[in-house]
Amino acid sequence: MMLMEAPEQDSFKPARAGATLSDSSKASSLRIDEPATINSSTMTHPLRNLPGTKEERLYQWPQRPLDSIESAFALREYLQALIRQDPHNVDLLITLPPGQDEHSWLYEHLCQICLELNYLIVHLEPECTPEVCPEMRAEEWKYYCATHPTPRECCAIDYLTHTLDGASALLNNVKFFPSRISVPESSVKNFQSIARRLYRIFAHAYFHHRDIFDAFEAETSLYERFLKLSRTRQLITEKLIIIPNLFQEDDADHIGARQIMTRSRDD
Amino acid sequence: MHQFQSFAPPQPPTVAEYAFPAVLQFLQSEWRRFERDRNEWDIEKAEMKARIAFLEGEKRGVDNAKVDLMKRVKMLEYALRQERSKYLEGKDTNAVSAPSQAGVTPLNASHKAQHRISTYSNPSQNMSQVSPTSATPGLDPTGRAKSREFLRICLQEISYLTASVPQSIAMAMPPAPTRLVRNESDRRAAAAAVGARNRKSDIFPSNQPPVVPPPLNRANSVPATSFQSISSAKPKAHNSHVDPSVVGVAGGVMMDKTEDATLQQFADAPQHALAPTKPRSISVDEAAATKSGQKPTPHSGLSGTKANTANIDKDKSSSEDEDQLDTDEDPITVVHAPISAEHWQARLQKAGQQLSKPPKVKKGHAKGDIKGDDDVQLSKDAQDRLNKMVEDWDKSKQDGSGHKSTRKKKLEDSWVFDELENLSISENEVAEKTKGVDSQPDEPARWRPKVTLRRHMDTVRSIAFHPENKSLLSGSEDGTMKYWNLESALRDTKRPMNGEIDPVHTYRGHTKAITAVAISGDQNKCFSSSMDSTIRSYKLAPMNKETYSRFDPTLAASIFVGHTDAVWDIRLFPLSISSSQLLGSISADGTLKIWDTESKGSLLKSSWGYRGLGGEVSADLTTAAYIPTPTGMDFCPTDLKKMVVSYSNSVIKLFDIETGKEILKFKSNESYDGTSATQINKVICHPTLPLAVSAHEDRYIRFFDLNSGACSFSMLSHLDAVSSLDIDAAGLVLCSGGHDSSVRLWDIASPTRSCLQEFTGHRRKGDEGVCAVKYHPSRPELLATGGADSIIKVYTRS
Repeated sequence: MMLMEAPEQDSFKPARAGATLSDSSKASSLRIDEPATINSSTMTHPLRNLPGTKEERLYQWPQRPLDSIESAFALREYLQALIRQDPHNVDLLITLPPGQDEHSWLYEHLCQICLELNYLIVHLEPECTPEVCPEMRAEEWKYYCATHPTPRECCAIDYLTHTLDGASALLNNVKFFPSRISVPESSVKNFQSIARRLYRIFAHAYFHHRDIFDAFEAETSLYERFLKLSRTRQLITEKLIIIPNLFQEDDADHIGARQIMTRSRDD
Repeated sequence: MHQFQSFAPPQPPTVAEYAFPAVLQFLQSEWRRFERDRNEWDIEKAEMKARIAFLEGEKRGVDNAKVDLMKRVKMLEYALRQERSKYLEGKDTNAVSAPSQAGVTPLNASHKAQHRISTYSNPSQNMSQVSPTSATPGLDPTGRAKSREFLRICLQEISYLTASVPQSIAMAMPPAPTRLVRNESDRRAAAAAVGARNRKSDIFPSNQPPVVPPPLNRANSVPATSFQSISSAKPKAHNSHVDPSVVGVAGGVMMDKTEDATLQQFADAPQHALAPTKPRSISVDEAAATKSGQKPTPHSGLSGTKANTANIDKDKSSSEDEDQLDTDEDPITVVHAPISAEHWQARLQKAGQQLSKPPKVKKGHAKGDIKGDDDVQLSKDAQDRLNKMVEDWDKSKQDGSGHKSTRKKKLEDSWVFDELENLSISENEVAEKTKGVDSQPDEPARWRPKVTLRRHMDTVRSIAFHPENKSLLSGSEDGTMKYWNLESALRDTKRPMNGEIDPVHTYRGHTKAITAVAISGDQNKCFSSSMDSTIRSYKLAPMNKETYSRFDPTLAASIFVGHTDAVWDIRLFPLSISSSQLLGSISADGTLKIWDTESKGSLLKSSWGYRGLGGEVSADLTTAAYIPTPTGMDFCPTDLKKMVVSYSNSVIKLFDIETGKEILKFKSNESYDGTSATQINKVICHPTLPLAVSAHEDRYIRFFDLNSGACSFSMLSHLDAVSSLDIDAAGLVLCSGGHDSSVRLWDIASPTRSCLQEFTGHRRKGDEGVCAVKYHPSRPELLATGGADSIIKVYTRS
């Protein structure tokens, strides 16, 4: 009973007290003589941006190997550092680091994609108004917004923001994703629906706001990362991929083969 | 006629019978009889009443027992269910090997976290022992193997989570806030430390080695007691349990302590089915003892130290220690124990005077009057609050004694004094004690987490409350700003704190991380600044807006363009003048800019750099290659013409808002060593006193007098850099958040700035922990923190 009620993030406190015991004995001799050492060793590369930092000096800390990261967000930090290093090296980005949990890695990737899609929407917002795009379309496909109790026909910008907000909500839901070191079996299926919906954001941008899409892609390679991730992890079935193949030379005439279809329901 | 005559004679005797005395006698006898009956009825009634009272008491006892037993049943059911499902899953996998003893078998003995694992595993193993044995004795080995596996995963999770504070930092403990220290030796050291600090309060202890021993000992004592309390399975343990180390723990690490208490309860529960509430009374006794032990107040006569004295009586062997403890403690804690309202008020005033050398009288400055009024108001408020607390306390005491006397009577009446009765007593006493502790006058109610908001995808950098409504704005490194309506979440008492709450609106517009947010209630607008060098303003979304509603073009932004580098902080002017409000911003381009948020024409009002307006052209551009960038700023509510700005070289300057001229340079850079590791991260002004508070990267918090620029107090306050500060609306408590992921509350009125409460706020990501702390400006019962774990927590106190 109490076990069930105990909030997840508080349950570790007594254990931490124990940790302090084991370390303080070791540290006791060291600390009294040279308190400044600890100070400087932790301060040499604080992994944070101090207030007042100039833009070109933001995030200027060395990339650390994954297993040296102690925090509860190790995978996320590792992934973000990799992306800051080179967002275009997609193959490296999507490779599972050795010894890590596949699903957790996928989870962090989807979180990161949601985060970066925020910025795509920022770029789209001035152009993709309800007047210009009254329907959520990607070429001949038309989508209904599934974030409402009954799927609704939202205008494109609404669809984009609702979808992104919905995905963020789902990924942040502790019922589905209670832990950062493992993903419950039952929640893995959510990845597919999240990916399927996020894909439509790219699709809309590609077919209706091509220049924005291209500029954003040139800067972030976000779509390429998303696509490769989805393909290697079978998150999206091939027939739902409607953006012509951008990343291979043998670009078949994908476009010729489309059928006129309207999907009435999201799921 | 004859007949009539013969009939007539008997009449006189009848008449005689009804003679007056006879009637009187008759009436008297009747009355006596009636009185006797009435007496009997009264006696009967009294008997019945007693009977009813007894039965009611019995019923209450049984109810309590029932609730308690139901809890136990549910717990066992749950454990059984777990076991069954595990057994069914693993039926075909043959029992590999009967697990050895259920005692502590370290899974990775070499692991440094072994201690905490074993500490933690005790209760859970106790728990898991119960279920398989009682349910299915034949399947024991498999069941155990399964639960062992389950526990292993749990432990893995736990050790993973506990790694969130790197060891290096956990070792570098904080500067002995006096209440955290309880051990004998500790206390002396702390006393010395405090003395030293008091003496040196004007000098920065940069060249003296920080005083470290006390926290170290504290670190030692923490696990020791958690060990003890967890493993103490005997119900009697609480009698002999009040040793100094226990007393030492709870103050600062209050969360840990309560956690221990629950754990202990949990661990003991299954073993003491016969004496059900013993464990609970143990934990609360301890809590009460610790509370009172750590702060023996002059009120201790009336207040919750009953438990303490009781324990001393019971425990003769350690009573000497206790006495020692009490005497030792006086010199330290006398400062945080206000005797009466007058004393307290006096102290407040003294603090005020101490902080501000009597402010120079500014001619034609109406603010002075306002300030005086504020001060009066302040002490009045304080007194009111104190009176109320004393009242509450008295009431609760009366209640308590009332309960007791009725109960005593009941006990005399009742011939069966069973365990159930016993149970109800101990629970009542527990309630009484906790009540007593809560209403202790100088102990404001503790903050407890109430609502958790998880929708951001990255570090929450800044939060702002609406000036009146229960709504909150948060800005995150994910580039979004979210507006939350807390109304229903705060009202709903049943909702668990992890309730999934969606933001009212998500503002998107910045192309990089958001660094600061602000709400203007008068204008119904919100503002955000970002690393993309811009500031944006939006209309506030209505509180009742649906999360997934239609696109609303009226919320659209106006953009303040002018900065050429990351904007790091924005602050609204405390007053709005003719429905417009000034906004100050600081940026890594080195400038501070003042914007008019309503102007139709040019938004930018003025802009100046390190040297102030007009000062820099001659000096900086030619000589200095390194121009300090502003890191924090605030307007001065006590003098609306001025503002403070902190710079990356750890200098704080006071500027005139109108002219942009530098008025004063604070002596704030004594510990600056030329690197950003000693810079100032945040500076704020006190709402009613001429006082500025700065948060330093090298873990200090410093207080400055706005008039003289002198540092009036300096303290090492966190285990890692201090990231954020806020002062509550009454001006009595300073809240600080640090990258050590803790939130601490400091008593501004006390000369030692003692720590009132500490709690772990957020998990660390990178080297960041708590990134924002904020009090609600008009609702003193709300506090919010935002952290690197992308979460916002809202705390309440009641």
